[in-house]
Amino acid sequence: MRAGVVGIGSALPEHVVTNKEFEAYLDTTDAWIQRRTGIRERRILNGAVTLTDLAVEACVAALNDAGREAADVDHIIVATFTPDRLMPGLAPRIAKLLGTENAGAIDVNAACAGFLYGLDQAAALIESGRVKLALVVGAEALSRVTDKHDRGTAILFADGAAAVVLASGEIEHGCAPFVLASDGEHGDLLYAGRDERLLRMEGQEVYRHAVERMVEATAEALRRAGMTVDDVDLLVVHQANQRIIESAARRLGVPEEKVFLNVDTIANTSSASIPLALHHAELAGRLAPGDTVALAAFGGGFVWGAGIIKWKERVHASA
Amino acid sequence: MAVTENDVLEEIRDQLEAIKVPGAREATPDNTWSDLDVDSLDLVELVKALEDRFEITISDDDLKPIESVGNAIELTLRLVEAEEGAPA
Ligand SMILES: CC(C)(COP(=O)(O)OP(=O)(O)OC[C@H]1O[C@@H](n2cnc3c(N)ncnc32)[C@H](O)[C@@H]1OP(=O)(O)O)[C@@H](O)C(=O)NCCC(=O)NCCS
Repeated sequence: MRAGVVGIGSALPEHVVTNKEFEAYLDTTDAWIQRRTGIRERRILNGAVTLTDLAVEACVAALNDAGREAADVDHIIVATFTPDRLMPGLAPRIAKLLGTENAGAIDVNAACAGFLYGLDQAAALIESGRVKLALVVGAEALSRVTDKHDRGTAILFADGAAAVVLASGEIEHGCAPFVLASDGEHGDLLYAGRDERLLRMEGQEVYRHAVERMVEATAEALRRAGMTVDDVDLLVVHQANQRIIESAARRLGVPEEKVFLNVDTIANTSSASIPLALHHAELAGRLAPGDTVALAAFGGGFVWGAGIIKWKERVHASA
Repeated sequence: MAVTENDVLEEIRDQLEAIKVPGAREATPDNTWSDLDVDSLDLVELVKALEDRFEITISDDDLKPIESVGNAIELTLRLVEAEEGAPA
């Protein structure tokens, strides 16, 4: 029994913030931001819409895409570190609003690698037979923890949500095995403190570690899947910074046309970033059923990981 | 075989070309990073390439005074020599 992605959906806040807007109150320029990060604009939650609302919208779209009912979902994993409340997490409310029938519902926090950790957990639950249909959600409102007056971080972070439906079935490849790792030695290079509640980062150190770790993990994930870079149809790296993504792709030997980028309009949405990129890649015609996708992410902790998935393989569903 | 100034220059040109710096192939030791429009993240890539190729470690302190291709060549040759001189 394997776990396959059978549906995807995403949702973004309506409010757009362009680089120009930062020029008004920060010592920065649109040109600097674009060159160092590739970011042109980002979306921010700024009205009555909650992160739960956004996540539910993404889940509804994902279930529709999969042609499945909320009542069939038996487990929901939400990757986030910016939930609407400290407790409860986002997952139980999302489960309720979707109309699941008492699905298991849990939030996980693995910073910007949260979606990969959540996907790995959901895949393991499905492979073991404990769960048949799962939703894995990345939902983040980083605007809640961003210091608007720190030019080194204010420009980078944004809000969004996206979800995938994971089903159990007799498929060839599915989602496993993932490579997940951590190194708590560097917990002070990227963190949000309990009292200050704002993201603090040593940008260049993070850049270096992020590239190296994601390259190592992706190479290892390919090895475990019995594949080489030539087998990869699309590389989807956590959309933190275009320069990080391009550097990782170059070191892995993945050509530009196989690298997906949407950081230009989305910026860094932490755990929402990979499923948002997957959905946008599909909408842009860059991802088709049966494609081999390499995923890689890195975040505060440090935590990181990579995994090779087959996109919407035909599932002879047993659920 | 001993590493020459030209080996390092070629490696720097290759790396600048990989990161799409215009005029990378014609870069000379006199060119400063600002002449070449090389920014701080480009330098991270360049340092990594030199470290991997010549099996050296370039610290942040080493890097601070490095403002040109020529400075980077001198630093690399110095570190290679120190590495070779060190007992295995
Ligand atoms: C943040 C980042 C763009 C900064 O680029 P950088 O080249 O490393 O910049 P540095 O931190 O070395 O700073 C260089 C200069 O630019 C300045 N700077 C920082 N942000 C700036 C901005 N928005 N506009 C203009 N100048 C800025 C710095 O203050 C510094 O000035 P100084 O030399 O006068 O002190 C880059 O480090 C980065 O993206 N890192 C990865 C971050 C990331 O993706 N984290 C999330 C991973 S999950």
